[in-house]
Amino acid sequence: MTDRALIFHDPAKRAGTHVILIGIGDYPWLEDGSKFVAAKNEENAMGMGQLAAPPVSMRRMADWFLDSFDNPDRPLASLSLLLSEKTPNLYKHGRALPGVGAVPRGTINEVQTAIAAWVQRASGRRDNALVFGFCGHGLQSGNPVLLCRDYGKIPQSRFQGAIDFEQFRIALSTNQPDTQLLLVDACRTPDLDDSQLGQATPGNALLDVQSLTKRDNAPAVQSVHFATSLYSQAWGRNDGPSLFTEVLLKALNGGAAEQTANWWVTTSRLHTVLSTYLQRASMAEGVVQRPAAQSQDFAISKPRSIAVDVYVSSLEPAIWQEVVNIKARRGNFEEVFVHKPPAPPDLDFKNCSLRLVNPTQRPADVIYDVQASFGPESLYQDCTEKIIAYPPEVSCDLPVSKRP
Amino acid sequence: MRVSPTGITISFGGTPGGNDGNRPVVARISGFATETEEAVSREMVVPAGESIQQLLPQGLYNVQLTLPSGRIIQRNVKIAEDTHETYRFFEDFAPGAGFSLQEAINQPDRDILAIAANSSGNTSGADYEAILRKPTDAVALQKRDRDLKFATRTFPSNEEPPLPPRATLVQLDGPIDPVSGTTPDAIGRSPIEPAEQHGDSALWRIHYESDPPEQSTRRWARVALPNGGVELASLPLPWFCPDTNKFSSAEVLVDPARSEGAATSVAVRDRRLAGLLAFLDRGQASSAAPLLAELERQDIIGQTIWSKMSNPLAACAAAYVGLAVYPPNEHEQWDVWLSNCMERFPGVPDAAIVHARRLVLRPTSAGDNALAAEALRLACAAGTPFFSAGVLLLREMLILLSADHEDLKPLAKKAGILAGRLDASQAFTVLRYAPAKAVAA
Repeated sequence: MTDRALIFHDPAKRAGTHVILIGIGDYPWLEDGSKFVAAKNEENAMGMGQLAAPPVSMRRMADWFLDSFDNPDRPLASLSLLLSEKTPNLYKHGRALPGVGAVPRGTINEVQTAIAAWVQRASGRRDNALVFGFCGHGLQSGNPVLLCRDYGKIPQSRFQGAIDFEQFRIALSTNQPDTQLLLVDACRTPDLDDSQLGQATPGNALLDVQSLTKRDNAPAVQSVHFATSLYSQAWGRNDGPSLFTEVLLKALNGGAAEQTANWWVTTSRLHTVLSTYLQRASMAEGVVQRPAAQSQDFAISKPRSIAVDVYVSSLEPAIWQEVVNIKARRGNFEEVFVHKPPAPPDLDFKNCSLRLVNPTQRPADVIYDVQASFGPESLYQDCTEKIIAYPPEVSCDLPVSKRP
Repeated sequence: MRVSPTGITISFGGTPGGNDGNRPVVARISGFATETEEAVSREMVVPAGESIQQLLPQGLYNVQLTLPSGRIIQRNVKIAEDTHETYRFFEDFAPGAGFSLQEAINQPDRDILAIAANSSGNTSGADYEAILRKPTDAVALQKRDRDLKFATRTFPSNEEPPLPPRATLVQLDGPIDPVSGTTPDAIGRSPIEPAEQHGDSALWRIHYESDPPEQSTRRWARVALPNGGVELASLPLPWFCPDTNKFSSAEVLVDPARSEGAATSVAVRDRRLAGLLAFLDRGQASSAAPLLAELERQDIIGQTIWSKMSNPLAACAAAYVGLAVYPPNEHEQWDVWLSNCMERFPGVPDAAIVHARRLVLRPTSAGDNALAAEALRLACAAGTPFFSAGVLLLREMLILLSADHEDLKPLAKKAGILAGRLDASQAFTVLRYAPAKAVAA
């Protein structure tokens, strides 16, 4: 049987990275869903409805793996995608397998079939790597549960359409590939039905536990990254990806490259950089979201170039009430940002940001002159500050002074 | 303090208004010397409440701090000839949601309750105080305008408004039945008076009146919540503190408004192990890097496990952290001490669990998993783990080994049920039981 979720496959006989991405946004049996009947489904829905961000997020992740994932030791070997959107949609990409139709929509049966095929592909070699990504609704129902498209389809047995994540994770660790990265972008809020407390296995484990003797008696090395901390919510945009995916892609694009690991993105660095980015991103949206991890350390990828956010500030915050031309220069490279005063005036405006892409981490490529220039009527004189732009983000305090 | 002619002094001031300034941070200095263009890279721990000084040649440097929250902050520093820069870093983002009793434990009792209420959004204390104030306000208003007396609820001068409904706590001894959440001696026990209360929240301090009994005598706090739910908290007693040469009490806070996990939180006062226990109490959400650096600097994990005879529970806590933060394939000096701890303390399930975990993560022979399975059987026989990490690892390892050891399958199922009741965000085991549902006539 063909694997309908498989959108990319490199059959080369070498160690590789096998990825599965599941984005569940359309939940027919949750509020505003096509099959939702309040009298039957409201209790199981517990206020949960349709999500815009998961399919967008997993499409962007798929794009990133096909366009930008770079791991010379374990290049991309396969990519599977499941998307629950209102209507079944194609995933189009220049590297996608020819003849790929609409991807599966993420019912528990479809997820189980795709997971089995993914694990089988990856189990050919111990030195392969696995990446599991899920974006959708989640619950902490005594144990962590990820909700598939058909969650609540059978009202009396709502978790038939859900993944028992902990059991799945443990079973996965008994399978062959030595390194396993799991990215879970879902809420971890408590189940409102407290009779679930003490239930051993809510949901489908997807996999059976294998004998550890097949793995030299030790489980695989896993790094599990949750979008949010235990018992709290994860947020997504109505017209874009989730906050976690947004910052995850920034981190994978070099923000989480580790200086002491020859600028590879490692799992431990990934967690601290996700914490850094997510605090800023969630605060800007007026919500609280802190990532959590159960992380064992291994390398994920080696970015070709490294993007660094520079937050430019000044001891004279009044400069942000006028036009400021900011240039960051290194050699012949120049990044320009023109700051325009906020309208209406915002006296709390404290900094502006620009993104610098370093082709290498050699001194010539990371040392910048950041120059601020002001209009002829301005009270302030032009100034320059030298910075080292190392990831993930750096601040630059401009030495602004008034014109004599 | 003598200041070097060229270099930098770094300290961490925490979050303004927060209490994370008393935790270590990791600093990394990377940059380029002006004259030689030589790359300079150094990494160091900035101990809690201290500043550190680094001598550096003239040049441009990037200083990077990894904060307890896991966040990284960086700034550039120019070191000119004969200059010495001093930087005090602050966490400029507000702390995230979530309350850790273990982190707040050294505050005064009233402050602990206030921090917890602020985190959970519990307004019962403020509401009650507002009601208490109202009669006075009403009297003042009545003097000015008699019609206003009906605008507020008033109480006769000799009568106080009723207290908000509070949880009650009784102390239980012995093994519990995790399914029913009780012990054979539960009936007839009298509730204990809290040390401090505010609104519907309260803080209890539980300690032994006389010499502590054997470690195998378990002590529990059974908390009956105002909503009818019940929570069982494993009390980490006896807990000996070598610093003070005294046994610490267990502190139990109940905040019925807390929606993140259980209403009941448990902590112990132990300054030396504060960082380690806070790491476990945060559900490992805090950054491991600063903690690990500080633990290594003081060899806290090794020393605490070595001193297992004086405090086996602390030894288990240290082992949980060590097994979580060190690479699984790295062999530690204390690996071999864990089996010793299990043998000496058969009543502490966590001692068998950390030994099994070490065997599973770092097998040295094909027989190690059989030894781990045997340790897990002993752990199950010893009862409910003291630590929530123990409950989760017990479940995980029973599942992992069940394919090769069939008899572990029913134990894995029981451990799954226990894990389903657990508040996994806390260091110590707290189990939750839903309110009994009303039965229709």
